Amino acid sequence: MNTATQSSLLSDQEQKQQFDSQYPLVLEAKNLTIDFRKKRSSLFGPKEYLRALNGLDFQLRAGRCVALVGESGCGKSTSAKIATKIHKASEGAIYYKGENIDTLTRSEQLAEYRREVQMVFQDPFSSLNPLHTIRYHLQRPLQIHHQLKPGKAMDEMLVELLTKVGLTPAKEVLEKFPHQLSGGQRQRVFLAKTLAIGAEVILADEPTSMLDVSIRIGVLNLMNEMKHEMGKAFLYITHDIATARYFAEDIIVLYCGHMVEWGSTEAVTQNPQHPYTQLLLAAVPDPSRSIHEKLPTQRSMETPMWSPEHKGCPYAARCPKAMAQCSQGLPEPKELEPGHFIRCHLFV
Amino acid sequence: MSKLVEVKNLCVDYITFNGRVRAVSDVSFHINQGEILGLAGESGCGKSTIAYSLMRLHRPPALISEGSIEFEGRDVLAMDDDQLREFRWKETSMVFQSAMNCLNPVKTIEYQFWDIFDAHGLVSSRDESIEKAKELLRIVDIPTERLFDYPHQFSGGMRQRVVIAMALALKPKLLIMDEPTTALDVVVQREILQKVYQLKEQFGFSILFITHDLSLMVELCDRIGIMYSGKLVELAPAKQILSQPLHPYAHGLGDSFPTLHGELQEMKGIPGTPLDLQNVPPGCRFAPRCFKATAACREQEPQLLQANEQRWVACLEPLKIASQAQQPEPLTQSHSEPSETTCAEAL
Repeated sequence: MNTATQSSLLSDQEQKQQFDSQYPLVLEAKNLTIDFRKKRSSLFGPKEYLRALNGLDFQLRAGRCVALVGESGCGKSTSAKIATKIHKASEGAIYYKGENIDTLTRSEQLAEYRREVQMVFQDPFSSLNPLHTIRYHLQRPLQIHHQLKPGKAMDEMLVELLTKVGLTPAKEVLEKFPHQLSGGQRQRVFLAKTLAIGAEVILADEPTSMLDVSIRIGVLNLMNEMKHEMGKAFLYITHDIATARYFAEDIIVLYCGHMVEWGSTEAVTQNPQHPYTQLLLAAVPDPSRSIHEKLPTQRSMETPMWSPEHKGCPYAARCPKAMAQCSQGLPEPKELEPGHFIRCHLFV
Repeated sequence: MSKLVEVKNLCVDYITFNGRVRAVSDVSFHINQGEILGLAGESGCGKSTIAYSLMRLHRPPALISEGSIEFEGRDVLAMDDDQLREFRWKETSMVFQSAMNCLNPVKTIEYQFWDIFDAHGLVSSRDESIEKAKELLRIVDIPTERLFDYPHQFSGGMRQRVVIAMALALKPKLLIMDEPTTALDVVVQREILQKVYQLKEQFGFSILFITHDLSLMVELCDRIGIMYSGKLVELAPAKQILSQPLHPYAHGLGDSFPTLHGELQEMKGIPGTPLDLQNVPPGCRFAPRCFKATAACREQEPQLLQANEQRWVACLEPLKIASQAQQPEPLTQSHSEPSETTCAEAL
């Protein structure tokens, strides 16, 4: 019996259980909202806020990846910063293995959380200390988080780590300084570091956007390996929707801090329904298209600065299909087909 | 179409403590009037160095050691300081990589336009400069009341458009764009490039467009040159470079972009890392990363040869295309490279 017929015999409940046991839920964000205080317009004026994220939900599962896609300033990186406890959410919370991360206050709990949730940064040229060798960068986390002493056992471990991320000959790489490595190699060192610490969740904030195209795929393939073979959970933040399709199983399209369309990557990229997703996909460089094709948007204004007082759909001002009710209130999410959601008045 | 710029056998060296490093090695190409020529390649392959050399903006330790650059028949390398001041911005202007860094943060946009006009003696009064600046802002779709704002008050995309307006201020014949949209997101990138194309049609200037995003380049450019480690390895009409690449490196670059449509398949990219220019091995520079490399590739350096009417390739084992009937013939005389003799014998 092949798997397709087998799965159709299982009830929905059983399918869900099977999915849960295959890809256990690790980190969950529920209704994540964050307001930033703005400078007051006058000394005695009212407090003003900027809403950078409004009701973001996502689930990171071991062995799977969620991509956050959107233009600069849409709140992609802010959500990763909340997950690493750099910012604190104004509303909603992040749950790590069922526990609200705001309740982790004891230092051992915090250390454990920080060990298991690691971030990979965009710029591999400034995220490694130029004064220290690669050995130092990989040894420190092992010393701090795992109380290992430098020695033969540690050396073997470092060589194994570097071999895992494809940096060979590992012994030579260990003694090099960051400036002696290329961007792709540095990003690999950074991924080796997250492995050394023993991270379960990796928040990758545009990990490939500063790398050369020929090297980009290699780093994506390495992350794919970490996902499939080591069962790491990934949050992949990017503005490149094509690499998101390559790497992520699920995708969330963010606009101005709001989830506008989300679901399985294939469903969203192959059958985009929200006008903003359609715009994003139309703007991706594609050799088979011509530069003259008109974008489905009207640039009446720049992206709005959202505040808690704002009403309606944030995309209404640029949307070519905007209607009267679009500026009235935010539509409820609607499931277009199983696992493909949208938040748009056109589909209410 | 007549040639606007002709670059012949250009070599640019950087003088370092470990001796000379040849960043651009024996590169020849031309740009026709009204044409968009793209230069693609990885970081460190010399594409920006070429852009700087075309305007003679390179500074020591960079040094043009060989070759010639002709702009409408005039020798750019022989110009003195006064001629250069005339040549820069009036004939050739440049849009730099990050617009954030090339506008003066403590001066208004208006002052920076005035600076350009005043330096070239184009206006007699400040009012005239303001009028001209407003006209330029209108061209790039920026509200004219923003003229008196400071750079930090603009978004990244708007700043890039301001920089483009400044580059067009003196109606140059050649616009060099060095990764003009790398820092911007895709929607803004497309809006800006559509604008640039429209302006090119309107004013008829030529563009040298430099980026590493090959799929973007194919949409915009007429012809594309692919560079690797300081060498031009392939030059072809834009539409053919991805569909029928001749050089294995061009093929690898095309295989590095995940697609949005069609079936999802695992991609390989190009294994290995770019060449360290401080110690260039003999033979083809791409050979260590090339899947077709033979023993001969590691010994003799391929020259840029004409493959057919519009295409040039520097490869001993080029990939096959259907219409490849013509026998390759040398495009340029090679310079005093160590591999010259072996290469000539082979030919």
